[in-house]
Amino acid sequence: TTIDRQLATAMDVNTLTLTLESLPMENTFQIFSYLGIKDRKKIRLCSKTMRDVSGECDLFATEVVFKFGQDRDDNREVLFMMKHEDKRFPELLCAIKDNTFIDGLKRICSSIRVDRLHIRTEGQPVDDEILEKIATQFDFWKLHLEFTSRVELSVLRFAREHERRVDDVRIINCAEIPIPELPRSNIIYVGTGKEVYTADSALSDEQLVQICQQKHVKIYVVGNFTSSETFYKIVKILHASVDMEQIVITLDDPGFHRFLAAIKLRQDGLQILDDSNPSSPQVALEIGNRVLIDYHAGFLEMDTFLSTYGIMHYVSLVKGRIPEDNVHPVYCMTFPI
Amino acid sequence: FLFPIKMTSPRMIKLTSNDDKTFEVERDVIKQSVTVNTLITDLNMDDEDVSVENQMAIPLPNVDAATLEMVITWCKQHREDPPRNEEEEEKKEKRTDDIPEWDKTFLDVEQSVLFALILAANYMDIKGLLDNCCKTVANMIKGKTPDEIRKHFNIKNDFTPEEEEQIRKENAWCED
Repeated sequence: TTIDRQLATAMDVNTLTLTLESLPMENTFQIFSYLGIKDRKKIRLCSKTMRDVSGECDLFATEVVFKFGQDRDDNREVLFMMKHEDKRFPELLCAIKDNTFIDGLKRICSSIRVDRLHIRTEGQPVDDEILEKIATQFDFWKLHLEFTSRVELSVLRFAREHERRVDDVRIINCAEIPIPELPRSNIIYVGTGKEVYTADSALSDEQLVQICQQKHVKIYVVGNFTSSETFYKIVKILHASVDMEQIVITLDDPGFHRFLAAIKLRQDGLQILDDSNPSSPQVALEIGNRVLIDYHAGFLEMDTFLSTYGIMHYVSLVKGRIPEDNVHPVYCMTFPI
Repeated sequence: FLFPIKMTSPRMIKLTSNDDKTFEVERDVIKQSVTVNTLITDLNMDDEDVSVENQMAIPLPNVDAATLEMVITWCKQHREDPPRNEEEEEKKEKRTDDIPEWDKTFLDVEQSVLFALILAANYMDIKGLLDNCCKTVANMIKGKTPDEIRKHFNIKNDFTPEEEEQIRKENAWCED
């Protein structure tokens, strides 16, 4: 039936436009939330349209926001993660040119009453054409449009240039967070990018603690720390100063050294429990005060590393192959800190 | 002395489906629908001393009669369920193997019926029903190969053979 087809294809932004009238977006994501990462990836294999713009990252990200995005003023925020791997980039660009991507975003936002849109860009710097289009399209929405990214300088520059034109552009990056403005947002992304914007150079310990102790602030510490020391330091500070229920730490592809830092935290006495059966990474995020590590590394390297630290049994989530090179396994680990 | 015992009949609420069929359902049963419950409260319908015959029916423009009947059946079955603590529910591990047996049988229906139930449960804000419907759909997807998923949900394969081969390579680990 039509509705069967619609539900079946309600799996990415492209096709969501077909389905929103009959199936609320939340339900689709609710269904997805019960699927493990492997099953989600299988969904991506079903048809080309499912592959185009979505990818599991978008779904994860949006889903996470459904869980966390409703802040205390009953605003809703969507964190839309754009993954710009080189191979997928032309497809994304096409989707933006023919408006399917933008339409998809609009439909999502209007269907779930979004008051603020985060566009978190990952990996490659975002093309100005894309930013231009998004900024223009969302202008009339009077939404908060926030670019959370590794903050390539060009992105920063672009966002600043558009600040007057777009209703409200705010760049959420630890180097850019003006302390007095914090109450405007209940969600803070403490993220760092290139060396010039490292967390430690941008934010003093006191400032960080001040941010974290703000009432009603949910803190997301996202990856991309420039060094294991920075990550280690930040987690230690947060742990010592803040109600840990407030903190969600995600490390996306953190690399070997940041992983080491996480292990060091464990050695410092931060409790790490075996969580042997979470079905997917978002489970870890839902639980809250955990570190989620999506670790990409060579198989042998990881195995050796884990046995060295005697934590093999903590590897519990996913073990598979990275699509890009079909060589590296993907490990996702989750443990409370 | 023998006093006549006054039997209080349960308060009934009238609901009308989008195809104009009216159902009478116990107030205590339909309270599981947050939408209806809120409406009843907001309209002070609980306070009114109006017989069910003269009562205004609550229109449910997004739900057809067949689906509404199923929703009411589900609500009757679950009327004794303890109230949900949404915060607790949020914290729970996402599982699909915990659908109660009665619900499993009840939801063993055509996809179109199941999706209509999802829509109704969403509209009427009946979280327990919605959860179990979504879990049922997730179970339909779980463990299937992409081909099986396509077949099950009637998804057109729009990959060229070369594209399909490529993406299969990229996602080979999914199909172990």
